Amino acid sequence: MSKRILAILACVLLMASMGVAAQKATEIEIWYSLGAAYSAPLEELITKYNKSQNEVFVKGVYAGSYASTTEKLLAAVVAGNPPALAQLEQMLAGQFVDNGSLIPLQQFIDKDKGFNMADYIPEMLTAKKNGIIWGLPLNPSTLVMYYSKDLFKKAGLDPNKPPQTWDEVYAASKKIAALGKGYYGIRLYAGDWVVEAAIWQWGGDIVSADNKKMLFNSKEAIEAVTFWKKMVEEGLALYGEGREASDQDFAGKVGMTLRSSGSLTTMIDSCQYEVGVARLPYSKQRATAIGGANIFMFAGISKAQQEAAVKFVKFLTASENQGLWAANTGYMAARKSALESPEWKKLFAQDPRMQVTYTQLEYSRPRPLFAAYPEINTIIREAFNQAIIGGKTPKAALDEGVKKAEAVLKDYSF
Amino acid sequence: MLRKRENSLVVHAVLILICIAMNLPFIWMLSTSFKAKNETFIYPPTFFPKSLQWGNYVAAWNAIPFGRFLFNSVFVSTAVTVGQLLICTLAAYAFAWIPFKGKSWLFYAFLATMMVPFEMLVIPNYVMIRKLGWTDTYTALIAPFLASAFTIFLLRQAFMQLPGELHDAATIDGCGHTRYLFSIVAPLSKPALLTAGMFTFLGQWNDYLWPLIATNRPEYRTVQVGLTMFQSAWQTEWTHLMAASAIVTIPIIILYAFVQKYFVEGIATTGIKG
Repeated sequence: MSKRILAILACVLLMASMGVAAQKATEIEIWYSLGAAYSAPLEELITKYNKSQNEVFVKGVYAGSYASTTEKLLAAVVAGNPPALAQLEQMLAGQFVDNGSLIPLQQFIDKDKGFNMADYIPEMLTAKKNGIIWGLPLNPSTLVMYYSKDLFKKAGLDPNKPPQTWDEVYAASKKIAALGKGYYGIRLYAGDWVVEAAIWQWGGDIVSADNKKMLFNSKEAIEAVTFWKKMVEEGLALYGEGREASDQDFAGKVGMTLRSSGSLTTMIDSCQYEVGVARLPYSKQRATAIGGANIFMFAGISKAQQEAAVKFVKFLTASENQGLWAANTGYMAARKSALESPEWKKLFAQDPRMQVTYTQLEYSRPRPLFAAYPEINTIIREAFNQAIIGGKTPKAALDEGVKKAEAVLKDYSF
Repeated sequence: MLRKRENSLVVHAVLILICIAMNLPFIWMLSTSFKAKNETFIYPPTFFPKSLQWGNYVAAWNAIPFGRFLFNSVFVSTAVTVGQLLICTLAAYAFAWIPFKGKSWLFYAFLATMMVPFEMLVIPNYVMIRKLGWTDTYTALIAPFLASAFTIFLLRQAFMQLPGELHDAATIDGCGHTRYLFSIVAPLSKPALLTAGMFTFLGQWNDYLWPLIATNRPEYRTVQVGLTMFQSAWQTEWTHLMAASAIVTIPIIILYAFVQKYFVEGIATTGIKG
């Protein structure tokens, strides 16, 4: 009796395993942080990929905002079931790079010519640490300056010659603010990458190359904060962030604002005025940060899933697909060949404002990438706020910030 | 007489003003939900949209699997509320009326769990549901919330308000704990039960982090996760988001309309002194 049961069981098992081997495609998940408007073009690419072959089946999973994606991923990593791939924001990726939950894509790039790395715009490869590429660009963007051509005209400024330096921003702001009560030349705010760009533009830096020493209380950084503070105190700049403040960008009484190049469509749709796009102003040197997100592979997935993920990453980052996705969302194409394609040439011809962000690439910089950085970035922003509207001197605020940041760094190194 | 009327006029005027102030965000949501995209940010802001954009509602409904999300939210919130009320009523009754050894310590231990913020429990909870194989199930969304220290506390306090003589009388008449709880304590504590139920339902309805973390498939996601889909890092579809928010608010308003009279009753009875 028991022998017969065993035999049946063996048969069933054999059939089951054969069945699995015969038809099952490797299933992988990609977690992304894109709202419905942006996720649609990505889901389209996923569907296209799934239809194009039958070895890999990719499932797109919406994981909330960049910050909630991080939380969801942390829980998944701890529980031992991370997705094969995830989209991680520039700054928030640091902790995953440092805590060993990722497999660097470099490993696969070295073995596979199909990645065609020579075609990447080198500045776009921001998820790089000690020469190792951890992730590949999915939706990069840079910080640009938007301005109201209407207000420029009203204030007697040339709407086709936006200010290039911070001194010129100051002069233009004076004219715009003189239009009356409630008018401001520019909106300044301690946004996560805005403060980085400001410190760089005055010739300073955030942290040493080995991520060990804090540099954001240097003479240059203090100069940057002092300049901003002066503009705010003289009533030339509106200072504030968050939805309420950023909505002021659309209202037509603020002359200039610093936002992601990916906001172009939003700006055009929401503003009551003619929107101009300019490169970020500078003081000592031109600089902007690269924002957006990269795509990463997680450790703890099976070999088959790794191979499947590599195939899908190659598909997703292929020139025509990444370019198509960028064109549909307003993010940047990361491949040289995409930009040279007729589609992009046509886009640029239709709206030259789209091109501004690419002219900044030569001096764009990747954002600091290490585990403690998101916390340290918050401290820097807080220091800016303390100095500009909190009544502290720029030096005192930044010095205090560095002290706090050093304590945070110590917490992370054990 | 006249003075009294004047007084009440003033009182009502003040109340109406406060009422308008309280409802302003709600009215603003409705107003924005009917606006055209480029009317959202004009200054000065308009309260009445230039033309009613019903299309926002259609677009919001179609942008995400709204029907499914709504069903999930209603189902999960209801299941948690019913389950939690049942379990917590039993616990609260034991804490209020059944003497046993170590009762106060156990009760304090329950209360202590209220000090642990949910964010801290996310990862352990997730590891647990993963080990139990519950990811992407309704169980994952319901089970972790079936017991709540706060509800137990709230109900225990309400049960303890009942006079001890009632219990004695019931015991003398041969009424056991179960019958006493369900035929006397529970009906007499209706306002407390409804308050607890409303809190629980609202809490579940508004919960975002847990449904996001515990589920991957859209089939099991709730409206709050859906609402965040209208926002991206650099862009928020305000008109669609407000239309979606308006839809999401409707069930709560209906629920409130049903339980409102019991709230008032609850306040009325607390005022009566013997």
